Amino acid sequence: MEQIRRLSRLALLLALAVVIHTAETFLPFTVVWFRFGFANIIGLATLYLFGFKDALFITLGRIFLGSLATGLFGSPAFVLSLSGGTSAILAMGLLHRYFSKTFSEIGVSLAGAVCHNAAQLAAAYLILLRNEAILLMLPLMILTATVTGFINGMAAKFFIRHVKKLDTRQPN
Amino acid sequence: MKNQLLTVGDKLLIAAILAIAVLLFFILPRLLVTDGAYVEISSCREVWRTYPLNRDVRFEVPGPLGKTVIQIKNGRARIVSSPCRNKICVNMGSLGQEGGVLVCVPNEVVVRIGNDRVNGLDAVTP
Repeated sequence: MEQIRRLSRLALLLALAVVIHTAETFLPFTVVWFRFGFANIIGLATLYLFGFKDALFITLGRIFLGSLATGLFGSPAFVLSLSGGTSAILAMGLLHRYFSKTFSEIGVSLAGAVCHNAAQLAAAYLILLRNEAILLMLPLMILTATVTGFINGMAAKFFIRHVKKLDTRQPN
Repeated sequence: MKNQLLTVGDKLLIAAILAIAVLLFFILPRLLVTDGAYVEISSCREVWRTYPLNRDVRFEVPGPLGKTVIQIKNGRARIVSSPCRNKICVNMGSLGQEGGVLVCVPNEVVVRIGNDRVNGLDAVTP
C-alpha cells in the first residue's frame, strides 16, 4: 500500500514538473536567457518529501520528457537545461543532507538556483560559445538566481507544508 | 506565523550570494575584458618585441641607422623620433584599437597593431 502511494505520488510530481517545465517555455520574456525555473519547485519538494534519489529522478525525467514535449530534445537548450538541472539538484541534495538545520527550503532553493545558472553558463561556455565575454553574465545571472530561487523556495515551502498537511488529514 | 520564514543561515546565504555577485560584477570585467590589442615591433625584418596597447611605455628600437623611439600612451602607439632623413614615420601619426601599421623604411622598423580576436564576430547564436 505504502509503495503504491509513493509510486503514484512520484508519478504525479513528475507529471506536474513536466507540465510546469513545458508551460514555462511558452511564457513570453524579453530577456532570452531569463527563466523562472518554476519546475524546480517540484524537484525541491520531492527532495524534502521523498529524498535525494527520487528528486534526481524527477528532475532528470522532467528535463527529458519536457524537452520531448517542447521539441527541444538534443538541442543546445536541452544540454543547458540538463547541466543546470542536474547541478541544481546535486547542490540542493548536498545542502538538504548536511545543512538542513542551517538552511530552510528557501536557502536550499537559492543555492540550487545559483548552481543552476552557474553550471548553465559553464556549459554554454564549454559547448556553445568559447568566448570569455559570456562569463560577464555571471553576476547578472547570480542576481536573478537569488530572486527566482527565493520565489521558488517560498513556493516549495508552501507546497511541502500543504502535502504534509494532506498526509496527516487522511488516515489510510 | 509560527515558524519564521528565513533562518539565520538563509539570511547569511542571501547576503553571501549578493556580495559575491556584486564583487564579480566589478572584478570579472577587469579580468575578462582585455582589449586584446598589442603592439608588435619589428626591426630588420624580424619581430623584435611586443607590448600591450593598454600600458603606457616608451622605448628605443635599434635599426641600421640608429635608434627609433616609440611611445605607447593612452592606448595609442606612435613613433616619436627616428634617425631617418624624411621623418615620414614620425608624421604617420598614431595607431590605436582600429589597427594599422607604422613603417620606417630607412631604419627598417615596423610597428603593427595586432589583435587576439580570431574573427570580427562578437558571438554566434546557436
